Amino acid sequence: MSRYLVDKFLYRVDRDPAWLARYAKEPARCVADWERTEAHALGPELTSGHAFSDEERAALAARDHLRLYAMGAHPFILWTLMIPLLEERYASHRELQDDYAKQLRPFGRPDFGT
Amino acid sequence: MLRRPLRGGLVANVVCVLGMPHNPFHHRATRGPREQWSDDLRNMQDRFDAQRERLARAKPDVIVSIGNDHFHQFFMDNMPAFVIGKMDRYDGTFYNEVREFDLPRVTIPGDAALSRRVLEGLLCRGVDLAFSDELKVDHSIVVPLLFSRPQLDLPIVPLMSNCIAPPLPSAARFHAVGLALRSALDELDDPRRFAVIGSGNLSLEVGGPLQFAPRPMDAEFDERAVAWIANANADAAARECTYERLVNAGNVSHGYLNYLLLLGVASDERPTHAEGLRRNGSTQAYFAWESPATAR
Repeated sequence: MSRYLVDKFLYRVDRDPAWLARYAKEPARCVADWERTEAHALGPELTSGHAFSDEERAALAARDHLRLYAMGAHPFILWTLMIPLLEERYASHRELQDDYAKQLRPFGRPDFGT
Repeated sequence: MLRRPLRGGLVANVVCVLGMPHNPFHHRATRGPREQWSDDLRNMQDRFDAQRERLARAKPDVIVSIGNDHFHQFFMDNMPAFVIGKMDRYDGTFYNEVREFDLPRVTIPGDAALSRRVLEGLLCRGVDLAFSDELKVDHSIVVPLLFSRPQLDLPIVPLMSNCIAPPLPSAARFHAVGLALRSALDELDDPRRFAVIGSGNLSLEVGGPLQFAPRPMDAEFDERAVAWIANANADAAARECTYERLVNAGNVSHGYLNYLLLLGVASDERPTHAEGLRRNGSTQAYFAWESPATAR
């Protein structure tokens, strides 16, 4: 398992419009493609020190922000990625942020350090 | 070792030190006609206007700009505790800030030679800053400048801290870096007038179960946090601002630590202005250290 790698996925996808579009359209396939091509990339080099657990991979593929939050994904990175993915379900940004916060309440504040 | 008596007010070439929020929503919110603004928004803009006027009165030539990257350029593959930009020109704001906050893309002049001298001064004082010759600055640098110096015409020396990816430097370290920065600025052989602008926040939660609650996250913390700066009580702040205390005040409350750095830059002087502006959802801090010649 790797909280770092989950954060890396969230961070990279949120900051790249092409990956964001893929994650919005086909999340499971996007996660599989990203894991194969980007997860271990450090510039032109590759690293091997991190791997997703099955639970992490499944939570990302399902875009299950509650499980990701509970597992200790960084709340700031998770939220900024979830805004564009969830906002169309809500009438306003205010409603999204309030409902998102309400959904997280049962999980308290998990440790999100890496 | 770096504390120096400066009871006569600001000396040397640091003519003004200002602290203010970097609320990324404020730019979009203030674009509509002023008569349609809420009282909250008007109150906040009044404070930004006052900071802009203070800065103008100080007639600075250069701005040392202190912010904290929000996972824009920096990530946990390479996370600097403190990093200084060393360029002649900076680009500001990132794709997802334009997307979410409608912030403008900006370019801001820099002064690479000056950044290098400030960096050397800090290294000499035991502050092993990271440096970047390709730094892009996020809303923590851009928003305060948009409201306090909208012309974006003065060269900046940007210094970014890690307030977001634990483990963080201690509160005492933030303060010590501020003292060292002031000492380094005071010893620059440079006739220009320096302003220092730092941004941060008080208790705040983003992406957590209490985010943007319709009241300040932790009003008691906010009151104490403003008072620590107002009374120049760095020791109390450093003692009380543990990681846990701050995270309990809200998961991104560590942005307050930049204000402790700023208190150090002001040589632990009491500010000439200190305010925690209560508004819906948060308290916004505004601090100013003006020299006697320009204070009103």
